[in-house]
Amino acid sequence: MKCIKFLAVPAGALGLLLILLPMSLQAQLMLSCAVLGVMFIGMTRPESATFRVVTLVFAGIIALRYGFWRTTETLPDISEPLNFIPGFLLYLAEMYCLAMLAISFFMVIEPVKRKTPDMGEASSLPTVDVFIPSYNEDAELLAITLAAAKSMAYPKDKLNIFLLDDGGTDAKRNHKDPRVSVAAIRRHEQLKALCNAMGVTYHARQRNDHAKAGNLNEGLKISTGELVVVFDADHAPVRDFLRETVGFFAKDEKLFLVQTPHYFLNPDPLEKNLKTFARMPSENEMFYSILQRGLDKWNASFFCGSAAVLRRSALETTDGFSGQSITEDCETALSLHCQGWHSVYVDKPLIAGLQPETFVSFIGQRARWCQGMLQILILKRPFLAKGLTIPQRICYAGINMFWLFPISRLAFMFSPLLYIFFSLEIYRANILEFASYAVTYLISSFAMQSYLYGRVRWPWISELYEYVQAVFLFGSIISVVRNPRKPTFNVTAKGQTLDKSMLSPLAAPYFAIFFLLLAAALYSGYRLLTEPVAGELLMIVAMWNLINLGLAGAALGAIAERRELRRNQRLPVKRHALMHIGEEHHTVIIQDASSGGISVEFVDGTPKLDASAATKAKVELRRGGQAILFDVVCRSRRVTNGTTVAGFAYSERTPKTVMAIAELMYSDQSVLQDRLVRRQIRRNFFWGTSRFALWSITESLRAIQYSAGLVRETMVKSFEDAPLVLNDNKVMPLPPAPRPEETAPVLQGGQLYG
Amino acid sequence: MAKLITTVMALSLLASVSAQAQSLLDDAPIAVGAQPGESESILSTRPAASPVADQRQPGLVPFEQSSASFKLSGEDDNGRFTFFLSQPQAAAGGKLALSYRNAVSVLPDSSVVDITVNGKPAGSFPIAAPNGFKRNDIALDPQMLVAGRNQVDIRARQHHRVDCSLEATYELWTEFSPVQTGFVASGAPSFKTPDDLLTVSRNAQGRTDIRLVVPQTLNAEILNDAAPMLQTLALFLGRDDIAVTISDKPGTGPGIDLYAFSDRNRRLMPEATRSLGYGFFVGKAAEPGRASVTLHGATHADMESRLLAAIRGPMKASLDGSLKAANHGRITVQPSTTYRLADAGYESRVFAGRLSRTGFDMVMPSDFYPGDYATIGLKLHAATSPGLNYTAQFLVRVNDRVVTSYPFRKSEGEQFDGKLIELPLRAFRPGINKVELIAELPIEADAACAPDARKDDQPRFVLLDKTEITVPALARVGRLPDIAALTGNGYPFAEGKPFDVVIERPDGQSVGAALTVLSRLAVAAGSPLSADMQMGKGKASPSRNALLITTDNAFADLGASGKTAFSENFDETGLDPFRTAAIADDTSETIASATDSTDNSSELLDAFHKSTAVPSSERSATTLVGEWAARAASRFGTWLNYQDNDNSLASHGATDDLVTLSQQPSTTGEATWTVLRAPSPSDLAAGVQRLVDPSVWNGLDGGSVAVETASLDVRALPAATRFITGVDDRSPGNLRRLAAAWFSDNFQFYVLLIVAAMGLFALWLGWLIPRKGAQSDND
Repeated sequence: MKCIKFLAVPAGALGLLLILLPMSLQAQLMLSCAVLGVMFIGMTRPESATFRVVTLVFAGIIALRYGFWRTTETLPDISEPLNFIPGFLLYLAEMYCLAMLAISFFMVIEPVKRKTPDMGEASSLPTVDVFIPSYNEDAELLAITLAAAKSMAYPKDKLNIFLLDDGGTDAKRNHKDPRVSVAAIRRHEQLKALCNAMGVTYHARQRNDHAKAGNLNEGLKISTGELVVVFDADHAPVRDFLRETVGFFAKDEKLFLVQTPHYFLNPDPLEKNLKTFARMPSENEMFYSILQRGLDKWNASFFCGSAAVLRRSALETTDGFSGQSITEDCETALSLHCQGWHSVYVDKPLIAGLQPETFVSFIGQRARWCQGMLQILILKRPFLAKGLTIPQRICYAGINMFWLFPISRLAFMFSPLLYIFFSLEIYRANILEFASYAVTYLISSFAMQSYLYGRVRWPWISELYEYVQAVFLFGSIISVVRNPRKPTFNVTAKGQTLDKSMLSPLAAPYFAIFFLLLAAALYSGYRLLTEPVAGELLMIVAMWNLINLGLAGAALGAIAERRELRRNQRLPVKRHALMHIGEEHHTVIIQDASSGGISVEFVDGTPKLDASAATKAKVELRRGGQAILFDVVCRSRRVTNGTTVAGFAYSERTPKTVMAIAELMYSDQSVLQDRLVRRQIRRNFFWGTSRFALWSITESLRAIQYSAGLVRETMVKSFEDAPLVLNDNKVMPLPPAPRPEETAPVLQGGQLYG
Repeated sequence: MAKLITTVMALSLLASVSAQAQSLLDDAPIAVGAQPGESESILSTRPAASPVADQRQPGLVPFEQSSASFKLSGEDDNGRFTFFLSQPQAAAGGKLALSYRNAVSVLPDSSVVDITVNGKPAGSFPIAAPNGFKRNDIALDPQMLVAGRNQVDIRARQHHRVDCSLEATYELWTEFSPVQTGFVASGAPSFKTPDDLLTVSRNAQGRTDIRLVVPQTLNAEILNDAAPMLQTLALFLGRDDIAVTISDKPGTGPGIDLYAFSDRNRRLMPEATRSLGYGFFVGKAAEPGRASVTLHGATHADMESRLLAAIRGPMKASLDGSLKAANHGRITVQPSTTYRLADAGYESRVFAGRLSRTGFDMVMPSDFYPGDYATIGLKLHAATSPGLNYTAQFLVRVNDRVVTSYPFRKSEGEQFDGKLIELPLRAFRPGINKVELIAELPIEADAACAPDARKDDQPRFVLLDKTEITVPALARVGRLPDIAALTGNGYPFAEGKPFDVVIERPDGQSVGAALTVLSRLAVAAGSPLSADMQMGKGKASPSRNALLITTDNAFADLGASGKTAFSENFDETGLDPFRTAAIADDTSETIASATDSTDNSSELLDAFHKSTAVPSSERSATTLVGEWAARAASRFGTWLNYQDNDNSLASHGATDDLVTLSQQPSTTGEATWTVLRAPSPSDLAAGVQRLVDPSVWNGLDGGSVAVETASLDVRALPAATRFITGVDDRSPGNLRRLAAAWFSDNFQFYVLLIVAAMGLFALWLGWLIPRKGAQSDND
């Protein structure tokens, strides 16, 4: 097969020469049909590497033909600057997309599936330090994470857990504003007490330098473990986390990182507002289920800030975690890859966390990622970085350049308007050319999107997420390009809940764009009807604008925020337990559990439960022959399909209870895995398009309804969670830190790193 | 000019003394010219043709332009004409005789012809001759005239009587008679100098007659002696309507008698001519209005040098002028060059009508390969006036086909400063291409067409002469057959390489036809051609390009006179070119007949369907959808094969053709033979007269051409296959363009090659990728 190289490389060169010939439309159309045919045949066996590569190469032919034609034949004449300048900008946006397409094909050419190696003898295991950096999260949230970390299966003498608290640093405790200093002192004391109770090390440094990276480096100073695990404050690991990851380090001495996916218990604002959570794969699944695996192939999977194991000796070669950019994770990985260290990605959800739930915090998080990645692109120039292999350069350039998408997305949104309103001809093509080049390219694009990512991404969802972010990220890009060193670390707000449905404070530009596109759609319709020679170009542009309008309409659904009454996210654990109610003993199945309580199904007859009188009970779980007991109190009861399901809240939350909660929720990785797999269902293009069209209509109407103040909701009274009790002293939730930019009264909860 | 001199010098190297004396000359053929209007429908608004022969004006100095340009059509059309005057003629003054007729739809009240002579207004007259040719004389003072070429600009502004639509503007025309129009000089022409030849009138058929006077016993040597002179004369006259006849007697009527001989044939020539001695002479012939030209040298080489001396001497100025005049209204294209409309003789003009039409010719290189690899850029410099309808648009027609349109959307008026409009290269062909820039400029008031509201003189459009035409780099490869390259540029004979003109049957009509075609090709090439005249069968060398003049009767005669000679000649190759030609023609006939039968059946079926058609309202939706789908599929098929909708395949009938013109590789494939074939010499003569008619010649296209016997219709058959005759430019750029053009025409190979090459590459990658980078752990 090796000698085929001498035939295949010239054949590829010949093919490339032929592809870059200026051909007739007839030839182009026939070529497109033939190539699409080969692609579709290639798609029939996704498990075969050969078929997959053939599919990608042939999709590349169509993209190359389109790019060649777009470059040589469709640009407006330079002597007409009014057409040329916007036309050229649109062209650049498209070329960016083509470049990203090429890079993404390279990245996902063969995603790697890792098999967990055996961890080895307990005596030979490396020592592990777990860092949980915190800024201002409340103790209850931290308690669960600490408990889950503490419960990880690993020799106790080799596992040390550190809560690295940046909210209780010396600088904060001695802040000149007494409100800040009092809160910091209180927090410091409470968390110290919590850590004491949980048996973990509490550490607060002197100053808050270099944000999260600085905090982690402080952790490195006070610890000595061979391996370092980082969990964000809301990222509770499953019991087997170390068992699934540590074994890789024994196999490869140059390994510096084992990264695992971030699995979220709660919906992001789009999932929540479009009601797709638990039905549609989450946005980050495309990255974690496919792209990171693809990067892993080229030794380019990178650190995502949490849920990862790192080798201390590797970190020491780069003086710890890098902190030049505000995405210290990717930057650290880049530095270590440059030093020749290796990384591994394990595609199994091993932690469960929270993601920003309000649109404001979602945009804040994305702005940080966007700016941080572009900082790396500008300051570190990964494509030229020394020490990287060529595939690594391509991969890093790709993941950093991805964050330029807001520019291209907005270019696609607004370009049609120039033709509809001002008749600027920024894309010179007639309908036949459009059909032969652009339509076939679009067909190939959609087919490839479905082929490569269909399992984790419904049609049009990428475009929706891109557009929703683009509106605000555009400004972030401009700012970072003007001054790459300016952006500073903003902690992402998580765990907030809205108690009333309302428009996001960021809604205005989305409405403005929607109505602008609507006006363009109406005007293009008017022009089509009244202009006898309006022509095919107008028809193409009007269609394009209509698609944009659909996107803008669905995006209105994302900013019309639905209320979220659930403070604690449930996990369907399906776990057998015993419930003691007074003298009675019942066998129950714990259907789901959260950090506030459990839902219980009675297997052997339903006892008398009085929610109003708050029936008290004790739950007994078993693990390894040992009983784990905790107290609950009945809060609700409902009967579905003849089965009674009762809701119980924990009557109190002591460190012991928190350990029981961690045991209940995070002892079994398969719970997370099942939940992930259940929603990974392919949806075809037509289903996805009609679903999306429906959203465009219903969601834009809902947003308009919200904007008119026509929200009809009744207040729902809910029970407070049981307070956290430490050494008989009640730990009251900390008052939220003063954040002038987010003072909406409906926001509750704290902010987390990550 | 330099090219011309070089070519003539090269000709002197030709040694052509071989041919033996052949049969007697027949009478001069009867020139056949199609009368205007003959093939028009009975609904035509054109008045009946009137006999023109009898109305010839003695002493009329005709306009030099070909008859095709004597018709001015549309609302505002310009014609530029020239005529030549000797010093005494210019000093004496005279009058312009303008004999014209017009379409009945032209409104005489407001339609007018303006005449400008040498840039000075000379007069105007209303257009009012719908019933037949009417003569208008315009007196010209000597002050208005110059010795040498005088320029007449005729502008016809015409309005429709009742209809203000765009379509109606096509019904507007005014036509001048090429025979009766010209300058009426005070005295008879003197014919003393070469320049005087430029005043020679056309004959009754509207042709410039050149009679080559030869001895009764004709041999190829005499023709070879005369050929350079004949071609030079044709170029000197600058006329594209020359009809060459050959006889041992001088011609009658207006024209030129040509005597060209060396000492070897001197004794065979008429006494009067012999007595002139060596040299180049112009004189009066016996017939009034007829000139005689004599070229006599000691040897062929001497003749050449004397001709060369004349070209460099007395003929020079006018020859240069003729060559320049021939290029008026024409852009001879060089690749990667930008031209302006001014280069085609266009002058910026404000247009006041509904339909502005600006035409010019683009002469593409002979080895140009049309394709989609690039476009010709038209950078429009123009402006529209406010108030145009939404339907106003700019169209470009190339070779009578609309290739692109650009809507004038802004009803408030618009100015274009170099607006780029792209013309597909595929619409062009090697040789002459007719390009028309059309602006459709309707306004609201046109719909009503009320006499009071008509604003026929309000400007609507201005097209500036700085409008640019940018020709890209072209794919260059000699491909034959290509009749358009032959008629437009004289390809493949115009490249300086000597070639044979083989006259299969040396009768007067065949030789006349050959010389007519040769002189016409020289005019197309812009220089004399290195033709080596041969007479008799089998004279063509397979390694040289050749023009073969053959008639079917020749074979019959051959059969009677002895086949041995025939077969001997071709024993070596075992191939008979004529037979090969015949076989090739048979093939084309087979194809043609197959097409015919298909056409006939489809026509029959069509008629049947039409007669039995159910009104669309009564047909079911399924039927309508089915019909629509069938139509769409058929249109798609047509498009995929690069055919125009109106381009039904013409076919050459077997026996109905007066003459066919085709090209084929020589027996060894080293050269190209262009074959002019007719059933008989008289058919040949008549067919050639039809082919060289200026209105026909410049429009010839395709792989072969035939003239029908009965109707004299000219049909072009596209080349089924073409053979490559050479690639001069082997630069990577040209090869890439050639590949693009060829693969576009043969896209099945393109698709297959890409799928195969990239498929192989992908398979190799598919093998390689799993072996690179990290690999999945197997369970």
